[in-house]
Amino acid sequence: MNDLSSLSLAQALKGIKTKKFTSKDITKSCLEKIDKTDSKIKAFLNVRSEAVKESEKTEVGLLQGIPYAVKDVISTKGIETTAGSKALKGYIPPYNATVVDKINKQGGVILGKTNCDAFAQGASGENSGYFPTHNPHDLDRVPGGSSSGSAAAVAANQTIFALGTDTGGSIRQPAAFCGIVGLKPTYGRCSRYGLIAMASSFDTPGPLTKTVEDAALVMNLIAGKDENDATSVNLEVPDYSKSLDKGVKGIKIGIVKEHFSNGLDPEIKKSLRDCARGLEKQGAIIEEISLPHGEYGIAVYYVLVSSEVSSNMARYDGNRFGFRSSKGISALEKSMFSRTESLENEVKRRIMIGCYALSSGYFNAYYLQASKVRTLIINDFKKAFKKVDAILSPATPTTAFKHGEKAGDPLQMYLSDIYTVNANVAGIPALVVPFSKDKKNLPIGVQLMGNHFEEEKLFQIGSMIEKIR
Amino acid sequence: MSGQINIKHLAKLGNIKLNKKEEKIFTSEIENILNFINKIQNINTENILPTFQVTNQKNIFRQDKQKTCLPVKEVLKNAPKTLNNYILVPKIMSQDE
Repeated sequence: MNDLSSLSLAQALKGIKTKKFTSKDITKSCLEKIDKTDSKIKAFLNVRSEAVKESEKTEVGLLQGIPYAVKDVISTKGIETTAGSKALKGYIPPYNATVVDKINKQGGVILGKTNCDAFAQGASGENSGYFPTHNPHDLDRVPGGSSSGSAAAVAANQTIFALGTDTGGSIRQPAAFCGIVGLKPTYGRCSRYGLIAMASSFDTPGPLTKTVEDAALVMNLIAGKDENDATSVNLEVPDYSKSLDKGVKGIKIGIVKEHFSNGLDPEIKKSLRDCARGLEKQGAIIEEISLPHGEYGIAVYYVLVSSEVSSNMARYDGNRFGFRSSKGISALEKSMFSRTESLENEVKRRIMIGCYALSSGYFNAYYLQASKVRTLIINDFKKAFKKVDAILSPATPTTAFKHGEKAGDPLQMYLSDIYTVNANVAGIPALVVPFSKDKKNLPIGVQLMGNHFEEEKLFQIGSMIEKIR
Repeated sequence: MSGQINIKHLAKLGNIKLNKKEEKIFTSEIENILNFINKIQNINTENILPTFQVTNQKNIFRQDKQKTCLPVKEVLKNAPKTLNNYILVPKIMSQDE
């Protein structure tokens, strides 16, 4: 094997076990790939050359020194973590996020921090406070977002796997655009401790990988209750890799009739039908279902997420950490200038939408009403999962779009999360698997959604999708 | 619908300063987004309870036990200005208060 950077995690583990190569060889290969390709792709905000030495020294756990990349909204002890924002330039976390800690304890070595939309707010990577990331399949196009760098790095074989976060599609939409696998676990399945918070009732960390098997392997490492995150759930973590080869015979898969209306790219529509047909041939039972309130997902999302954003972003006052402006005399003034000079436009936009939705006189009509519609969306899913085991849906309405194409129209940008957002609204798990390519040779992904804590079924069906594509 | 929002007020609530050009752009963008969001107003939510937490968790309690804190030195490294293990911030009250 010449190019070790292109290995899947499962292949890397096997090769290390049979002593074909070492984790140090893999890390070297990844760093060489980054060196060769990242001036064009720009997936990384910082790269750690010391990873080679670390992987040589690491002979513990399952990973034995295998390298991985971490989205920059996830805290890494001693390694600069900016959330892709100028507001946190130079910030060095004094602790690891729980998901990072768990992987490192199993012998994972951090290659570097990946670029993202500032504070994970965006769907193209263009809102990064530093530079935009490019899609490895077509450098003129966006990699999706907000886990832009993580998805691009995995797709370009700059890393074996990566961690991301998903608040409305931020793992799955870039996974679909870059032709890789991305899982948003159930809310509460993985600890949020150490994630730089965007919307606390939506945020979920998860894996971006080359295969479904790899996503299962990473989930084995990161899932579980954490006393530092009260919303993490105390449920036994199954061995997710055991669900991979079960086949789909008798599994009931729902297709959502509302998803086939206007607005869905015809090539994606065809891809979805082909995928359903393929699964049916393998013994799955395809049923049409309805999610009548699904169309309100984006509206609900932008009321609730902006509200939570406006609250979570209040901490960036330039006092304890992050950027402090030289302007202003009083504390309030100084904090205002610090925020004004360092927060990116999308962040400011969401703060103000949130302030609007939460202000007196509007609270009932916006925040409370959206929270009630959230219940209706959840009820739709509850009803659906009484009939089917999982739901097959598009991942994105289009394939990767060009840089600048939607940057001037925030609403159009928001709508690129139309198929992913409802899994976050309901807190259910959702897996994106690459299925085909469009005429421009851009990847098309399909999405599987499951009931709370039923990631296993998604892996089971997802690994079959890899076989039939 | 224009004139829906008072951008100066929203910026003040968010503790952000906007210039004239930004006020204009943000007003039009946010009104456009609110017009889209307003479709939730027409949904009948009578007798529907709001959801604030998706996995139905109730209050989670823990023992109030002493634990090791983060190392002060490393935490303070991130503060823009410090003095003797304290974070220095601008004066909050004026002299006559």
